[in-house]
Amino acid sequence: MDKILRINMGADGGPAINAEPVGDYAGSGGRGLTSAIVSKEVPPLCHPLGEDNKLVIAPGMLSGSTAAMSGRLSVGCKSPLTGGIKEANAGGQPSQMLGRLGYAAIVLEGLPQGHTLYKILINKDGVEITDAGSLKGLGNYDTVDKMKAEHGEKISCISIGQAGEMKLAGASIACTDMELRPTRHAGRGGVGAVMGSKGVKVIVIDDAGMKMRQPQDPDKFKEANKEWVAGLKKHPVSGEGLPAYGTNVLTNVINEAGAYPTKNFMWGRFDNCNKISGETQAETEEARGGKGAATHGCHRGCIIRCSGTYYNKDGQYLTKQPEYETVWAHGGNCGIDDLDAIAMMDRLDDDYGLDTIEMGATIAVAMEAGVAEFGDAEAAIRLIKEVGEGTPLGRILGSGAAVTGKVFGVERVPVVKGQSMPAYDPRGVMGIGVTYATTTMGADHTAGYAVASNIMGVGGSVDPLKPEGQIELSRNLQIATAAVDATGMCLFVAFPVLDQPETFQALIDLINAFYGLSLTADDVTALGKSILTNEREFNLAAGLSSKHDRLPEYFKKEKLPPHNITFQVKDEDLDKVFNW
Amino acid sequence: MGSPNAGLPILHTLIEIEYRIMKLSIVITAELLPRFFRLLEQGFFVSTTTGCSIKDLLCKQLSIDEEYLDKRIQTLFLDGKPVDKVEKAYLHNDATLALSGAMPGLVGATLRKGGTFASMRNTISYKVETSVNGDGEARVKLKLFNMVLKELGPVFLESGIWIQSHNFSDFISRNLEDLKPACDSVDLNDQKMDVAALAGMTWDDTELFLKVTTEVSS
Repeated sequence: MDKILRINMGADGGPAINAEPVGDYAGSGGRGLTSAIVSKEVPPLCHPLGEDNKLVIAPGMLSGSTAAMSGRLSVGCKSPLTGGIKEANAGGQPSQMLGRLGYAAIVLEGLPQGHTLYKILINKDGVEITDAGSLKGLGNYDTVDKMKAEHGEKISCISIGQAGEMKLAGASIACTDMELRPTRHAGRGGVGAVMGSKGVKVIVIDDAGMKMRQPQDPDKFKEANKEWVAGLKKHPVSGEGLPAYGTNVLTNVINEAGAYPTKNFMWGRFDNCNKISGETQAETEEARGGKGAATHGCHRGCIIRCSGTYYNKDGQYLTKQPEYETVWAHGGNCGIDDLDAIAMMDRLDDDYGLDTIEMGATIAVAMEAGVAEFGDAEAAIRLIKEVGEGTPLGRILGSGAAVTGKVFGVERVPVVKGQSMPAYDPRGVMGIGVTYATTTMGADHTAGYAVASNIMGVGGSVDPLKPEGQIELSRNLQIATAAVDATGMCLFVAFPVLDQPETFQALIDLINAFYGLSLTADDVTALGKSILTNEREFNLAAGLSSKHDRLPEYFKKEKLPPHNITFQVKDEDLDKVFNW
Repeated sequence: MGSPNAGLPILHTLIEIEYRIMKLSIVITAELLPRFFRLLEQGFFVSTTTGCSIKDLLCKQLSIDEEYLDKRIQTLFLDGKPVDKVEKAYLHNDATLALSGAMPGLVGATLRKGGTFASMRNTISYKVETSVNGDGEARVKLKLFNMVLKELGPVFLESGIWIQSHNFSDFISRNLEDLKPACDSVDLNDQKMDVAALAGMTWDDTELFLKVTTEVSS
């Protein structure tokens, strides 16, 4: 991946294409690259939908190679939702294909003149940009169907739906999966709105004629990959739980822990959670779609296969297996216990191009405001359709939970830096609350993932029972996560890497064998730190200070049943997370 | 690692409901057995003594292999509190014990017994505050999730479980159409009946003793 594709959407005479060497960005990938480019090239005070913002789409360092699990794509920009730096991450096929075509990143710059919508085609012969007016107003599914008809079935697509065209702050960017369906989303932070502001409806990627990226040391790479795959397969989480039940395996467990945010974070338990559990969902999928329906990989090279396929009662495809976050956001958080309704909402989110977490949290805030009743699935579906149709109410809802709360006068809005909290109540698991508060991304559950244990000193040197221990843990986890995000690896490698030192070593060996390096765990830590430093500095310059590294006040006052606890980590301790 | 419970044959499981202590026996095809797992997710009752440790309940009383407990039951909750040491977590009357495999994600890792990130949920972790008197009887609700449900579910259904009638009533009404062709026989307190009749019955807020038998697929 030796080139960066820059497209100036606002050039005189139409979008101007320039493929340049990676230069100073060499050796970087994924979140490392998106954050480096955004922090260096985007003025922190620019308007997120203005000409100075940039949308950076970057495969990971190992994407396009035969390394298992390496197909994640990073999308970076200044976020219209948080006002700070954003990296959103998606699975699907585009990352592998862009890697094989040799692109370390696509950078969309400037603003198109007028309201023209464009299609970008990238293949081995180069790049072509054409008018996409015929796609205007289409959902992601119809858009991809048209691209399939035009370019065949071996392509992948990166696209926006109506939400992105409307530049709504809850808009996502869709990536197609192995079945060429727009089901994998760079969801968080309104990245779809930025793509919409750049006037790009769809990027079609065709890597026909390209080969897998070759490692510097093929023998060592092969050996490391073998060890890597063995480690992932033997671990009970990555080898059994996720393939069998998907991420929704968490519903019963988080609910049992009393940390399952229910009805807009009012309670920590949802009484009907086993109607929407991963176990129930897997059984439903297999009953309707046959054995294996609940096991599916989102990109070629994925061996964990945590996704699945959801069919309606008539046995027809409806949507990909809804993730834990989606089932929670549209389910328990809204008081809804109907899996079919939740699956329909997932389909609508994917089609309109909306972040399911933000959308679900927003609907729950709207329910608290009385716009609909908690538990009313039909009303929730109607509200999502209002977003897709661009009604005034829909535009409010599509702008996220913070805006919706403000419009309807709701105090209890579960956001940090304007972004909605995901499916774990921070009063139940305070460590995740530290991460929600302090990550550069806004409330985000993946920014502080577990990657390594003693090897990276993730446990830290401070007594873990003291508040400082939680701070140190969150800091080290954020560092480790940032490093993993740079490789293109799926974050679900975390558990086997955490438990099995030889699997973590295999990951480092993969990188070293591919690039001809001699990285150690300390180097990986340094990589993570440098990414976070870039992001943190950008946010400070954008006006996000320590006062934004806080949970909403009501989390400190309102006790969460069943444990009846509040968030207890002190502000001065939160301010220590980035002390290094 | 040993099988979860090597002692019990897994060929037949009868749903038995005793009338008055309702005892229902159903013989079904193996393919439909997992439907009954929902009842185990919701919880079933076992009797033990107060002060019994989780380890003693599972291994000594319920004959779960110690290695299985150690390696497969990676996440446990006692009254919603994550448990780190099963030999030092004690049961009381009306306790709820939930068993799960290892969970993904950071929060999943945080909830794991004795895990590296346990401190991140310190405020909800199980802590032994006082010693528990070991003289009395205790009725404990046991819930099984994910891989543990899949692996131990058939064993418990075969042995028989106590469940709340309203859960069974709900279960029957939701699954009746699929159960009809799959049921070989239904016995209610030693009286044969049609499975459809179960849906028409009025279930008191009582408990059932339930066993499930599957026909061996030939």
